[in-house]
Amino acid sequence: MNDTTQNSTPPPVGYPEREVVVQMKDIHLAFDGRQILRGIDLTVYRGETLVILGGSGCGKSTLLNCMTGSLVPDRGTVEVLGSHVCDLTEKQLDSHRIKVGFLFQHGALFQSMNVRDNLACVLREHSTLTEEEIDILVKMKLELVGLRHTVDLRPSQLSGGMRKRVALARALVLDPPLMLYDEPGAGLDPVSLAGVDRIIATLARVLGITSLVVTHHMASALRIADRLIFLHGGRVIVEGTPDEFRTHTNPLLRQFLDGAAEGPLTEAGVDDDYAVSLLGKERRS
Amino acid sequence: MGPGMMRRTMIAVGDWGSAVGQALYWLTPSRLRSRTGVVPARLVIEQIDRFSIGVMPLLVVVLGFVGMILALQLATILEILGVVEFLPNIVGIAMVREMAPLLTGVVLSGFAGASIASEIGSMKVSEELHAYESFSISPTRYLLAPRLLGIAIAAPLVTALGFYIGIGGGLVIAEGILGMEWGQYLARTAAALKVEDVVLGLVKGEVFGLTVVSIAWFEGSRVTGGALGVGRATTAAVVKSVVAVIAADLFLTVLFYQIG
Repeated sequence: MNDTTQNSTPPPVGYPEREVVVQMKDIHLAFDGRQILRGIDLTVYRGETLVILGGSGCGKSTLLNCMTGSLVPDRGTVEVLGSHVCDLTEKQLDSHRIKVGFLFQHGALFQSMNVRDNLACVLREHSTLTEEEIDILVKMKLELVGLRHTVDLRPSQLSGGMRKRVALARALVLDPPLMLYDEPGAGLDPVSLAGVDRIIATLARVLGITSLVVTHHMASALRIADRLIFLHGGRVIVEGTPDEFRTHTNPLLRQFLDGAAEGPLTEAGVDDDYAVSLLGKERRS
Repeated sequence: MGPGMMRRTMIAVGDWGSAVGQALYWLTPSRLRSRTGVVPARLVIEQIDRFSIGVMPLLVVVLGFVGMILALQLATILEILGVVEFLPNIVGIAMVREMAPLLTGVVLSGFAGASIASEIGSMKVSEELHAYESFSISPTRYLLAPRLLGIAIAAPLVTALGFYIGIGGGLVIAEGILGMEWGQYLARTAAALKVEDVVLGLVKGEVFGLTVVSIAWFEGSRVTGGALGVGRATTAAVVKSVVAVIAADLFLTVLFYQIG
């Protein structure tokens, strides 16, 4: 278990020889002059489920977007499935992205298509399968998330949880070795969330898919994770297994895990001199 | 216009040109023939329907009324000059060369421009555009190319329909108020119009349609800031489309005038 950022993350306990799937080194990224990431080092091993925790706006989703090449860090290197993502051309990025499944926060299903075509269009684009074969594969993937009966429905006819599961089926349609989940529990009731968690865990356990999950749901995170990292201020503050996180004493993590309104996380955002910010310097005297 | 604004405008025009260029790439014969490069026909048909059948009720009302107004205004002057029998000639030429394509462009700006910008903007906000990218599927091919192809087919059709509606509006006034015989009215209109007039009108309609769709796409795909951003993009798309349509109209009119 680490309490601060380290230059290289050790493999999870018990798996010293595992293959590295994602390796990020010294990642810095700023938007509009605001520094989001300040030297992130991250290693993910084949078959493991790594959960990224942290407050809103701390750069969790940004990290995922760096892995797909949608964002290019200002500094540092991103190696995913053996490719240096920052150095890839547009064409190479296209090949890279089909190896990385991405579950968007709100599903991001193609609204103009029904459920079948949401999955089928990806296969039509990237395979030489016949329409018959595509139809069978689409139904298999939908069965995996328990939604084979929705094949002819439009996304607008689905509930939030169903949309998320269809999006998951779509993300899996090309059998990617790496899955990135951006807030899979956002907007879901506890039962739907448990269902999505079960699918994520099954994919990792049965199919050996490497998973990176960004979430705010603590119960969910502790349920599915092999390993967790906690981001704050653009850095990895704590890293460890679920059991280590449960008993960790870092005050920032403690406040986050306990969901306490007051603590070091919230104090960090409070202006030292409220009167100055409210009234201006000259009014103070 | 300061240098900063000039630079931003140049960048925006460059980005717009790049988006149109990418869409045209997907419409080249070699791409259209390839298996994976094909622009889905179903999506193109949907867009043709949207830009023709969808826009028709509005076009009938706008061009019908404008045809009537034009005939009434002209009739007053032509009666004073004692040449009211030339009314069909003037209404016909004005409609085909200018009013029908221009008003079709304006109607498309309000109808297609607003709907495309808000639709694409919503896709941007809901990460749908990002999803296309994450699956290495070109949003230009699936979203812009069908819209451009759809408007390229629908715009001349609705412009031609606009000719008839506008001339029909004039006919209603000529027969109903001025007592002209409808057969005579139509014969004079047909005699006054040349093939070049019709070609000019249709070319204008085509250019206006493509301009509106490409601007609306561009504004929609640049949305930032959620629902407020979608609203801003929709307004910008309509305003810029109307201005661009009028500017293109002036350019084409001057060009055809020079050509003769």
